[in-house]
Amino acid sequence: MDKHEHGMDVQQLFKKGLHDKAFFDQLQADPAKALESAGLKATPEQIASLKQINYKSLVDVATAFGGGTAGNIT
Amino acid sequence: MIVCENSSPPLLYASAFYEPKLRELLDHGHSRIESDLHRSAPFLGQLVSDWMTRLSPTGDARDYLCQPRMFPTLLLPWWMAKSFDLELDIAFQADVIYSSLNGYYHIRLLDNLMDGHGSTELQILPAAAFFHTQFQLAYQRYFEASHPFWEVFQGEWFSSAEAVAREVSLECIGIPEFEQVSIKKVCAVKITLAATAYRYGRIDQMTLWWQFAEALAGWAQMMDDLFDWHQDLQHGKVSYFLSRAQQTKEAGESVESWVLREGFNSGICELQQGVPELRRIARQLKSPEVESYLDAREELLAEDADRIGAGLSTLREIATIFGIGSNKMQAV
Repeated sequence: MDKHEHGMDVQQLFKKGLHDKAFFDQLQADPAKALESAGLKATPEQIASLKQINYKSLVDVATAFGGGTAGNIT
Repeated sequence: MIVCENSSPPLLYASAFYEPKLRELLDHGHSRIESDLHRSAPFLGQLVSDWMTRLSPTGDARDYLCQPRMFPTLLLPWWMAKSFDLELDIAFQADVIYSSLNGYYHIRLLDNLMDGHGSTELQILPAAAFFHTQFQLAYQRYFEASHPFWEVFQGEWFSSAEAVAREVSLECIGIPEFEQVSIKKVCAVKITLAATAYRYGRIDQMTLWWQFAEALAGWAQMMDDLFDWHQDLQHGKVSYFLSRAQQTKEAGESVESWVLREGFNSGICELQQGVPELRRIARQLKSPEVESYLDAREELLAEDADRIGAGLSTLREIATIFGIGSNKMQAV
């Protein structure tokens, strides 16, 4: 699971997960449109699968690693 | 255990470990910093006040060190004093807190600058003079110049400064560097424990509390590395967690992918495996507060593991759907 020549790789996905809540909000509401906005295309199967995702849990990742917590704890 | 309202996620900001008297001393210590600084250096004082406010996720500087995930810099000497079963010397405890607050902000100021996190730290760097002076001055009324406390003070304070400087120069942090450098950054708390032990005439307890403080410092630093990994990666900072990522990730794999695949879980496992050793040392301290604290930290860690683990699982699902690494998500 890592990078590829074109489109999105794990680094970009992670970055979006941490800092681009709007992308995932749109991905949940309208996957095809969200992907098109990001310059990506998906198969109907992929779009159907993206509708099944629990996007709420991404908030915790963004809070934990995206600078949403207090920062230093020591 | 922990009381928290109006925060997201829960349990983030307020900590019931700060019993009312301790919280009162903490609030007073903060007010004292503000008034002393504003009186002696009004321009700098305002900048420092703003900085301390911004550090706190609640926007109230007094809450900053009360966060449950924070290393218990102010709690350890308080718990130590209580474990002696002697009447608390409240004036001394107030001075310990005032000193510790100044010592903490001194370290935070320099550490943020060294990490490259600091936006305003360079502007308020002259405040290091204030923080250092107040950190030391608080103890001068209790220990004369020839008192052995000052050897501890000097040794631990310089060791902490050395660690901050050395860590920046490291290209990789393995277990030896972590123990000899990263942990030492937090060990200035040993100064406050020494002061407390000397003040109450309980030097016999100092080594045990130091042992616990060092073990907890290691655990807390490991947690700091785990939760700061992405910011550290962005800033090009070397940490124990990121060094392990570099050593164990597959060839050509990104750190992000490693974290998703196994890194976060292995970091959580390492923290969980460290708890029994903390408990073993804690039992010797005869401090119910320390034992309750460890219960709470373990519980908080489990909650973090569940919540964040679920989020990472979601990212993995999306990556799988996108076919990242295999049938890639094509650009239009």
